Amino acid sequence: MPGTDTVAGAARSAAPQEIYVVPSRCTGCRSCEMACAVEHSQSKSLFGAITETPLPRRRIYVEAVDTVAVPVACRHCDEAFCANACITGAIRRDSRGFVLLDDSRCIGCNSCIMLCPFGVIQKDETRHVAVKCDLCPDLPGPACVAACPTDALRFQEAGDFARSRRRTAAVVGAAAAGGVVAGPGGDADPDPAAAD
Amino acid sequence: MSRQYVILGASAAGIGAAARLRELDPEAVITVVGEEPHYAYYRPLLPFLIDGRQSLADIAFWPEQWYAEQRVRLILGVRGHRIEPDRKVVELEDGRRFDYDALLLAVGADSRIPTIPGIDASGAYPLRTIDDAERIAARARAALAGTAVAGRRGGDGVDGAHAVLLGAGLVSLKAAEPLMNLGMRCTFVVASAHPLSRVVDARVGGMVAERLLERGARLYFGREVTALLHDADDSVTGVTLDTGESLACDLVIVGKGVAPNLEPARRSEFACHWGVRAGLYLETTSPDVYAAGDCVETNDVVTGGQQVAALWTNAVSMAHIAAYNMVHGPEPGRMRRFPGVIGTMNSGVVAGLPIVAMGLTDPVGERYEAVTAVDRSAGFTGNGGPPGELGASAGDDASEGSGASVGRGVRAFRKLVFDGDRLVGAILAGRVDRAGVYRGFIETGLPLGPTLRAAAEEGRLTYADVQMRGQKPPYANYMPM
Ligand SMILES: Cc1cc2nc3c(=O)[nH]c(=O)nc-3n(C[C@H](O)[C@H](O)[C@H](O)COP(=O)(O)OP(=O)(O)OC[C@H]3O[C@@H](n4cnc5c(N)ncnc54)[C@H](O)[C@@H]3O)c2cc1C
Repeated sequence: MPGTDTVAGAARSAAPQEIYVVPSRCTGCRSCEMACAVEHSQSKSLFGAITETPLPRRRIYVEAVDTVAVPVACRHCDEAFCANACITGAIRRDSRGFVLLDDSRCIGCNSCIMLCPFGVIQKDETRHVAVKCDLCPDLPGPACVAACPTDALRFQEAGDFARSRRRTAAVVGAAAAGGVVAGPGGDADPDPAAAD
Repeated sequence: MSRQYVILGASAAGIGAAARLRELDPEAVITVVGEEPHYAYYRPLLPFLIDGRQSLADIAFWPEQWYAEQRVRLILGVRGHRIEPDRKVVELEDGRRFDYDALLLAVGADSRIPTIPGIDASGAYPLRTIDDAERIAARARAALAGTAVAGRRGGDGVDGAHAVLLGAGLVSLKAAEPLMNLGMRCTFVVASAHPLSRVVDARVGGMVAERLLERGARLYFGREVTALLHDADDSVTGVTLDTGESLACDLVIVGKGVAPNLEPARRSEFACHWGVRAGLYLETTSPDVYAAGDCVETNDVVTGGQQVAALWTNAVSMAHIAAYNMVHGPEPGRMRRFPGVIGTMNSGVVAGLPIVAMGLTDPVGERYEAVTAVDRSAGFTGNGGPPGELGASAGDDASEGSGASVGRGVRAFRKLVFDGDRLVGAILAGRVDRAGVYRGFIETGLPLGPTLRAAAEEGRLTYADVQMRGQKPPYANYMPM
């Protein structure tokens, strides 16, 4: 059965496009975090952003696992627990399938933070509201994806991702057989949750 | 012919299910019957009505036109009375009858009102409905104008408007917030030894108490109100405690928890215990009748026992599953499962302190091991910085004090409760980032293993750890087949 309605919200299949992570390509440069914070600043420029009070916040998190960096992004889950948990109607799914937070309705109760299994909703303690990924509605695609220099982040359809994974796996296979050399660690371990 | 769905109850579960039914079945006839005369609203926002920070329109679930757009037939101000499964008919209190192909019981819960002399006096209210909030607001305004209780001029060390709150659970604490904002003095009379005793341990309860005292509240622990005092007009003038002492007041908030609404289910002879019994598919004991939300008793995934759901989150999640099953049931192979609830799963900012409490937060028994960490740093902001800034310490260090003094100066506190290799409970106070990552483990009972456990104990557990350690994501067992 297609995953259109999972309880704890994992990969969405009905959604048009979403952010996929290929952890093995991430070098931990945090360009995605920076681009995200800048896009969600008032000035939308790096130099403007760093002088703003409160400082603009990122909504994608490059987490460290030992010495490896792993970006974790919002999946705009099909059965979005954050939206189910929202006791004010601040988090809703829009007509494009994006799970968006209207911070004018947010009372900072942290229910969404308690529910999000990925830990990608955090609190802006200055404004007492939650902040989450909005997929950059003013841009053609998410700023984090555009900023990633190593193609570790991709914005594409679930089907596309699976197809491109297979293609990359074929390339890695060729590399192992003495052909083209893939990037460090190869591309063989996409985000298992996103690829599910 | 289009299918007919009837929903009893027009709140989180009822309207959540109606919305999902419409997505799943564009042709269906959807009827929702609600006892309250109001369009569905965000019940947890009721405190905002009391001090006027929000209006009725602000707290509405959907704007009025949504119901017409979604072709949801809404029948308000009347209760569903009885379900006749043999005929597949539901009868309302006013005698109207509706056929159904599938029916949802989403009748929620009502405030539990203790049987205390005088409890029915005016000026003593629970906080569960718009009507309650409006009565509280009116009474608070009268008290502040000095007209609530004729001839009252403070007393008991309280000048001016004074509210007594029975209990210091989440709803009492939330009710007190707007009252204090308005300038009322609040006194909590609590049977247990600390606030939020059903949700957190003594330590975090102490942190809450400390903050309440700072805001000018008064707290009586280990005390019960034995009677409400009232004047000749049956208007509350005070309370009597089990010590014999009495406290004059203008307003009493009855915060003694909630009880599921069982009447329609009982009348229809469905199995009920604390709540309406619902199985794995949220089915009741009557064919094609499902149940969701606060009226339901379901499986507690942490204890394996039975639990009343009693949370907005659960109500909406259950409603979505129940709606799916109303459309695709009753063959089990075509339905979706509701895995159950975590008995305690509360989040909020209580007296200025962010708290998340999940699972077994203060269990008794040798099998449980509690690991706590405290942050007293002055510069602490809780502002989502890199995880892992709290100093961890093994074992429960409740020895630091007791009662309201516990937690003085503590900025953030974390407690994890393990049963062997499984995380079974957690309290995060002051800083709650990534609480959901911990919740995933509590909900699924997946063992952490030494590496993840160390990360958890040091407060640096992230989803990336879960993903990169080759562990299945904690929700994987809920993925559809
Ligand atoms: C002040 C306050 C703060 C809260 N804060 C939080 C929070 O922070 N987080 C959280 O998760 N939860 C919170 N809750 C709890 C949350 O509001 C409930 O869990 C949620 O409303 C349950 O939804 P429900 O649809 O199951 O039931 P309810 O909201 O109780 O709705 C049931 C509806 O059915 C109606 N009804 C009853 N009998 C019948 C009948 N026979 N026929 C037709 N209709 C009937 C009732 O009048 C009611 O309108 C809070 C509650 C309150 C009061």
